[in-house]
Amino acid sequence: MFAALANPHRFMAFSRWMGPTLAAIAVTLIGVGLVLVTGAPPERWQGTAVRILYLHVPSAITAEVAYMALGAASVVSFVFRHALADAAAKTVAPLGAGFTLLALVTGSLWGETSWGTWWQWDARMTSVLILFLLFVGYIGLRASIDDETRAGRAAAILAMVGLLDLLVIKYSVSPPSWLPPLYRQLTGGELVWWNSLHQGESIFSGEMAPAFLIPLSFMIFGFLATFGALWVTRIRAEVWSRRAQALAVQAAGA
Amino acid sequence: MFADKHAPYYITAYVVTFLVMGWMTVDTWLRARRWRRRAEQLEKEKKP
Repeated sequence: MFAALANPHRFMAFSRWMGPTLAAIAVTLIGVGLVLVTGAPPERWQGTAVRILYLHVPSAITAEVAYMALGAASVVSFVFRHALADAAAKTVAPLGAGFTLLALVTGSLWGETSWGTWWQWDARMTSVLILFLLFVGYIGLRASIDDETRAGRAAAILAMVGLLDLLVIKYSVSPPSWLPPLYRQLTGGELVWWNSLHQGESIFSGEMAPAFLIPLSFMIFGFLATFGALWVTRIRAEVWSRRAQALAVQAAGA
Repeated sequence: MFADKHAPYYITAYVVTFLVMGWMTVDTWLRARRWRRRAEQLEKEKKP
């Protein structure tokens, strides 16, 4: 499927209906999600502050998916010098920055009302701030180099190196399950990991009650569909922009 | 419904989220429209 879409003509035909379809799915999921959020109960300890969960978690997941997309598009663009992959990487960065900013702002509001602090330099928060700076750095690096091809290649290197931050984010609240026993076996001691105010994994651990999980799922898929619709539309805009620039050069030379 | 002590925090979170998502949507739509029109105009001018 991805190989077929690598052809810009096929991509433009596919994205003509895919963008509006994803937008319709996003509006439906977020609409239903918001209705369910208003009916969701307060959490036992946090009370109604838990309502920020339905924005913070979807924003954070979408931001990480956006960086995975940036990393994958950068690898394809760097290795195969593929123009559409370069357009995909260029257009995903502003969206990723937007969703990461939302994760930081909603997290800060949630932190103040539940922990009593807007910010802590702990591993999870700092690594997500680095993710935001990676997106902004990618945009800035591309904008600072006039030659589009060189700009794309330099920014792709930054994006590929930045993929390491996704691992830091993932393991910032708890180590991989196999690591503590291995460490104990090798050293005889207990593994010391980062201390974090941020809670550990709760969605896939089965600890979350359906009353919270169902609205949260609608919001997560709604945010992901929004991201998909915007990304597809931005890639189309970038293809048109490059076509317009090529035509303008042709017209100037004629 | 919105009169509890946490309301200023979660209302701010919802307002900021929908403003940022709204801005990203409008910016994307305007960008796509501008470049599609520009490309179509140049295509037309190219044809004899």
